[in-house]
Amino acid sequence: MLEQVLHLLPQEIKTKIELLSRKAKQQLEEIRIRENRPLELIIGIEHFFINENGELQLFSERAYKPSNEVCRRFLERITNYSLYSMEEQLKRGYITVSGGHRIGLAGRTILEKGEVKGIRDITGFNIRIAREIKGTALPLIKKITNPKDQTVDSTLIIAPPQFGKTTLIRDIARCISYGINGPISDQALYEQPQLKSRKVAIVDERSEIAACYKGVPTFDVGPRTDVMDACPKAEGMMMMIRSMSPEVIIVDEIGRSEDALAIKEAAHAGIKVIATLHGYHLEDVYKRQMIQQLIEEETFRYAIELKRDEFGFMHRVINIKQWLKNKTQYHQ
Amino acid sequence: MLKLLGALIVIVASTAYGFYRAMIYGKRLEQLKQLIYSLKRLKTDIQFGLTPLPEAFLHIGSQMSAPFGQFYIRLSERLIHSNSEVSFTAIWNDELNNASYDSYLTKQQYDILLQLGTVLGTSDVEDQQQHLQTAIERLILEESVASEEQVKYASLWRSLGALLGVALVILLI
Repeated sequence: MLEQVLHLLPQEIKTKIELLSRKAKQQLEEIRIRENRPLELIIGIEHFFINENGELQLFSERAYKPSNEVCRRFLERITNYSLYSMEEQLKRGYITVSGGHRIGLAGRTILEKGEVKGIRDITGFNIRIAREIKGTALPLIKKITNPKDQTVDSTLIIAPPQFGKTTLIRDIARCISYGINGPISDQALYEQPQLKSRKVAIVDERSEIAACYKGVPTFDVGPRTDVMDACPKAEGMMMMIRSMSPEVIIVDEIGRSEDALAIKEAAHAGIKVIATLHGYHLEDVYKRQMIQQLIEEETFRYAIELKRDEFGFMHRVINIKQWLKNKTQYHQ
Repeated sequence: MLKLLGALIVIVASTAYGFYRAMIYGKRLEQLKQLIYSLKRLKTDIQFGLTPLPEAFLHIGSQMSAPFGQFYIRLSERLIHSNSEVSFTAIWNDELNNASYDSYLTKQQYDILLQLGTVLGTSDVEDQQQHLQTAIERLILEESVASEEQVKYASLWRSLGALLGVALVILLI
């Protein structure tokens, strides 16, 4: 997976990253390229700069700084030498490359009638490295599975950026699509299958979850999964509800009122929804009106808060009904 | 007897040279027409298909004859298999240089192409259209000049070659 990113990098940067230890490469999460400023690497939860010899260092003094020429060459590569073909992506501020890696762009925006039409003088790149970790969702799925219906319950996953949201829901989609019975992992968590294989629909607005390349998912998202690639969430959900008869819908980073409406539509149609949301705690996101509504109407049965520290990733499962009850009790 | 043979050789060689010089005008005109057509196709590919350059070059090149057909194809291959060591402009210039060995364009005409190589793929659709249109118009001007030159000088060189041959023979005998 890192290979695809390395392939796109200019030689000057590529050679330095190749010098990293195997462990560092495995934990490499972001490569931040800023013209004439120190190259920054995010490994695990730490950040480092790198010197001319490829050694990591904590200080930015005498760190390697990519030149304007290096940045231009990189931009050429990631746009396939055709900036004009990336209008949509420039408007959104990022390019997703083969492998599902998202490259955020920083520069000077071009406005048309007050709206962002594109970016010029692109001098900042944030390469977020996508990883597939099969099995990472198993402990979590166990907690949101409804053994009676043999399916998952609608769940809202709350986490700030870089907490592994996308890697997680990618695996959630995969597990649900295979069902906990088939070739998921060597861990035998169940004696009898409690999660039947279900039809999964992924609305992959930023092409990050399935990382479709020419229409086909790069990652393994399961054999019974349909992906609506690069499609706005609300519209995508509605389209799939109407035409793909999904049993579970997976959607990343909801936030607008249209998203909430679409989720409610799905819920009314009996479709389970696994959605992610930016935030730290249920209490915080509850303050947002759109989320408050969804929670109070118990559209989701569970909320999961993701946590992360130097030891790894953790999650906390909250039963919404219980939580609401406690809330009202508390206020009384 | 030997003198007759020698004279014949001189005349034939000279005439051949004259024909060669005449042919250049024709080839130049043909290559210009081809280039103009290829740029028009590129313009369409970009405007309506948003086709990335490597792909567009492959399509266009595979339908053209040497040397520019090869130029586009090699360009496409180099871009696809690039390792980010050289910039697009550097690759464009290098391949143009390779094509120049088999082409009959003037330096001025090459400059039009060299300039195009500095802006292709670096801006939005509208801007690319403008750059391509400028290049096309400049090449069309060159085409009309080349066409005139062909009319004026092609037959001239053909006759000139033969005449020079005869003149040389007379001088030497």
